[in-house]
Amino acid sequence: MDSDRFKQVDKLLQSTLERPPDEREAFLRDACAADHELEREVRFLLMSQQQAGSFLESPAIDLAARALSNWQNQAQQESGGVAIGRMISHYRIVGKLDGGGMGVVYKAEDTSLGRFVALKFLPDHLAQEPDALERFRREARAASALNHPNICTIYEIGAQDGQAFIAMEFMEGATLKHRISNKPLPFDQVCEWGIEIADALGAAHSKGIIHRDIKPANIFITALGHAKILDFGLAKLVPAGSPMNLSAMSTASESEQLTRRGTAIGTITYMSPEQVRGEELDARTDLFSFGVVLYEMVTGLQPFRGETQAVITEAILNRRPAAPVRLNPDLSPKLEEIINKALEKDRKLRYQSAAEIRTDLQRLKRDSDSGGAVAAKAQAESKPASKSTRFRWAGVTGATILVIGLAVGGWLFFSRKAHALTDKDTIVLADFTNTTGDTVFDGTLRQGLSVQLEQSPFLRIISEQRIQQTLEMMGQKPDVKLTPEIARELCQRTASAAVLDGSITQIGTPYLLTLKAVNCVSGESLVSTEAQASDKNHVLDALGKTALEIRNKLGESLTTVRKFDTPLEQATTPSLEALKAFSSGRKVLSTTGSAAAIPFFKHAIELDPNFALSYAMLGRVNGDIGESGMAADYTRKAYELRDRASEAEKYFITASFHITVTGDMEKAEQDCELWIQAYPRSEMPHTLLSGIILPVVGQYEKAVKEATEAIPLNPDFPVSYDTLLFSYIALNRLDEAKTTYGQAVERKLGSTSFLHIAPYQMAFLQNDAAGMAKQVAWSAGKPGIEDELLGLEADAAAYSGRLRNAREFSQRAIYSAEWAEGKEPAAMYSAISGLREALFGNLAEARRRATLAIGRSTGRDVQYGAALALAYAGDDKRAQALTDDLGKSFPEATIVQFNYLPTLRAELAVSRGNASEAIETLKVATPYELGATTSSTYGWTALYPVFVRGEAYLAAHRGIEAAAEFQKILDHRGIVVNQPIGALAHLYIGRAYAKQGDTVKAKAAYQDFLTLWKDADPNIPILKQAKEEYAKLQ
Amino acid sequence: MEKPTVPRENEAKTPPTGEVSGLLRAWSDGDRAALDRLTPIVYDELRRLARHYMRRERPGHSLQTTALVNEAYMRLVDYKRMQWQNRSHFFAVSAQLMRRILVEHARRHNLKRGGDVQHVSLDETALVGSERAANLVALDHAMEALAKFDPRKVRVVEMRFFGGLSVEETAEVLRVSPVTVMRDWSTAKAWLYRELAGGTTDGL
Repeated sequence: MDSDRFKQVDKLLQSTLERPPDEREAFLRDACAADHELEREVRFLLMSQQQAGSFLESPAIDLAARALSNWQNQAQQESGGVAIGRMISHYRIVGKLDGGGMGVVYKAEDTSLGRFVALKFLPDHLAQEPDALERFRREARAASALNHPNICTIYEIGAQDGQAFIAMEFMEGATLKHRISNKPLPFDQVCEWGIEIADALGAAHSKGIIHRDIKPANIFITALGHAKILDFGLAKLVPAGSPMNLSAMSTASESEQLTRRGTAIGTITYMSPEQVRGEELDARTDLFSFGVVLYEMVTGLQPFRGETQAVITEAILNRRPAAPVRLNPDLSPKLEEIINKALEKDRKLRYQSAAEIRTDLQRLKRDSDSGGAVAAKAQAESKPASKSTRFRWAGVTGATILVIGLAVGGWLFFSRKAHALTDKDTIVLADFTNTTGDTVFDGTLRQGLSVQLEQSPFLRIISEQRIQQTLEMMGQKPDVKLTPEIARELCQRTASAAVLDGSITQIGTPYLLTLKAVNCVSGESLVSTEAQASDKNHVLDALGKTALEIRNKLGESLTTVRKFDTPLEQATTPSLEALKAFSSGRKVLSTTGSAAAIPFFKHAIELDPNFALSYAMLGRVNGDIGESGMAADYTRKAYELRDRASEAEKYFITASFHITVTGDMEKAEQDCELWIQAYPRSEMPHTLLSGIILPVVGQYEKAVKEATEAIPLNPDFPVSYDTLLFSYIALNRLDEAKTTYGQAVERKLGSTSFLHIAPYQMAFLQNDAAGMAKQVAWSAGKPGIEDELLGLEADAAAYSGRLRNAREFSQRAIYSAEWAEGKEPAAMYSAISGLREALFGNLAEARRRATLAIGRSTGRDVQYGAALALAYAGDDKRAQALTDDLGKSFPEATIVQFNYLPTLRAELAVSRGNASEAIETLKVATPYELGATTSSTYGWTALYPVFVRGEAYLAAHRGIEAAAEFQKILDHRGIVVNQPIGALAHLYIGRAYAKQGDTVKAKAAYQDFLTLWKDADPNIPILKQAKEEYAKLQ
Repeated sequence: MEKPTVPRENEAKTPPTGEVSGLLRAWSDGDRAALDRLTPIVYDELRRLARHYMRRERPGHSLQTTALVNEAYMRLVDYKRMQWQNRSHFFAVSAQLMRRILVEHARRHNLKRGGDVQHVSLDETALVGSERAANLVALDHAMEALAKFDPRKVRVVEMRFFGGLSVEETAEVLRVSPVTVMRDWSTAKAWLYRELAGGTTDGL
């Protein structure tokens, strides 16, 4: 970067920062135009600007002093406050031992016996509790007295200067925890150490000594390769089954490591179910813990994992761990049986004694020693490769990433292997997009990535040879650059699962590497990773890091069909449980409907409170069922968390934010357009456009186009058909609607909660009473959808003047919504029924219902419906207040500003007798007047601007223009469907012609209305008026 | 618990301000030896502050901390008593000096500690995890890199962060408006943060 470029970046960064946060995105996009590089750099700085927080905000001397104090503190701690040479009782501290996972242990010289011991300090409080210490001493001594070769001998438990300590056998080696380090151990070692541990446990148990805290950190593997159990009796110092205390006692290095990982997994991980429940323990608890240890030895992973104690507890008590063979396909089935038996939750079904496990392990070892031990051999062969890979990465990525990476990646990849690789699991590597201008990266990065990925026995990359052959078939030159497009075609032609697209960019001195796996059939971005390299020398390190990360992420998205029954979608959450809940939610959404999906998404955010996409989905589905308030809350939360989301998710979240929170459909439309550009194969932006965004602005033709594009991208997504149906209906294209419905039914999508409202409307428009009844019957008893059909029935009844029936259905709709805990939909039905009463002339009833509605919910559309009802019912004051409030609350919402507000203000103007003001006010609504919101209850809001304008013209004695407006309503039957103004438009046309003096046309229109209302309840005020007016025309 | 008063230990050791300003002047005039005499004075202040932090068992008392830090700067470079004609020049020189000395101090410590053990975390709350903790030495490098295409921003950082100067004082030295200083400061911080955070950003 040069100074000029930097100035440009700086300037743009500053101008961006001057905008309000929600405008920055758009501003930056506009300002950068096509200069993506510039945009990227500014974006990067913006991001670090946000992350920087208090960086550099305290003066240097302050930080330097703090660092100095940390150094000094640490220096003190490292010696544990115990200086070399210090005497503890008759032990002289010689140095610190690094046993790996043992906690702080010192090497000390026993000055009386002239031998080395290992000295470990016990938690501070112990020295103050002589009873506890004594109990521990007795038990430890008893275990020690066994003098078993696989139990670490304790020489002494003492206390000095208020600190309790244990002096034990000095050993060289490392703990089993250290040896496992998240990778499976070779079969032979598992057997040998397993036998030794079982042997030691058997010996202790025979003396009535239970360990209670068997875990890898408490098993030491000596330099000579023998297992020794540490800390016998230590666990008894805390009340049985008290995980809090026990984890507090976990060794220092373990808790350190846990803190480093940022998780809160305590020693509970190895506890038996009865221990977790706090029950009386017997020797069998150790056997369960031993089973957990064995599981970890063969898989490298703990069987009961989770991010919180609660999740782990639940797993220990109720869940079967993933079958070890799925994590380590080379595992002998016999060994798996042993582990499963040790892990029986009911101790009566478990191994009853350590000797039993020992025998089984011994037999297994014998069988494998005697040949035919393919598993062991395979293990031995596969080991060196994975080991070298591990250490290579350990060097470059740091232990933390390694631990997490292997924990997730290892599990997933093992389980993939267990499913056996198929053609579907091969991958195509695209060439890196290199914007650095440095040609050294061309080719090398792809090669490097290929090397890194091939080290994994679990991933298959399409061979170069195959690529060459396929390129030839594609008519491409053999040396063509494998752009993402070409790679995608290669991927499809080779029936691979995904393309890996990489890119490298330079930002200042650092480089940014990104990897993205794209499903080459759907074009959907499966996963993406990125890593930064501080300079050119670290680019390959960063590559290794991203390769590792993409491996584990890829595993996440490709693995899980069999594991969870529901396909896991790629979504940004570190919690597999949350991901599973989310994916189940997605599946339920597609197979059942929005209301049914809610509990799943809710569960997902309980498991991961930062799961942005799940909040966004909650926003969406709440919107679907008319809970606009909740929809807005969830979407807002998603928007706040959007930095945690992937690119594709961000598009969804941002679009949802504009749809649901601000209501700014222009912005939402722009978001979707960009989304489509970035993810051309994703159906979601098309579906949002056609189903929610474009209807608001009345662009139904375009909605048809978008829905038509959405369907082939995901032919099993019912929402796309639903939106296409609505669009066709709005355009009065019922034949095409029917065809579409037929296609959806053919795909067996008719059983979801989608695809019922539109068919009802189709039936209504065709006077098909049986068709309507069919949909109503389908919905009966289904929460979240039944109410909508009842609401539609109410409107249909009202449409022909059967007001009593309408009231009954409205009431049932309200009950149904309340039963489904839909507060806002219930309020909506009140508001709609109030508006109906107002239009029909029952003003007091209208006010009552409108008031009820506002009392039930303050949702945007409820407020509009109630305000309109009140305006018609003569309560101008409250209508005005609600109108003002709407305007203030939703300054950016397209439907509010361009539809609701002009309509309300115009109606209020009409009632004040100011028709010309009303006409003027409604001008802004003209481009939007055919629009309706679909996010609350079946688009009841449609065409009111037109209706009110017609009334205003009538009041202004401009009959022809009035007639034209009402005619517009009749012409758009597919939009107004069964809403009351659709019926009343006949009457109003009659009034308009009457005003013009065109009695013939007026009569015809009145007749139409009276025919439509031939079965109407006779005492409806507007009917009585109509009859009177009609009589006068005679 | 400590009393919320500023401990005034080592008062006796505090060098007379005149001495510090004399040395500063000498250093800015090119007397390299002056640096060697200034360094232990700054170190004393540093240790005095460090002792204070070590004794404290709980974090907090931010007011007191601010007071202590201010005091340290005041003791080192008492602007009020400065007799210099060119106040701005003095500010600039003292900031440079602090940068030199503190970075050198960090460098020595890093060496002594075997490099990878523990770096000076510029801000523990901002940089999550020890891997990301950057050190003053790395900051110094990054500032050098930034100086290549925007030297003024580096001077802003030098004065604000190392010299402990306010926005107004920095503006005075650089003869620009405080708004410009704020802008430079925010861009420089973002850029340096990015440089130092290095490592991974979460891939998603």
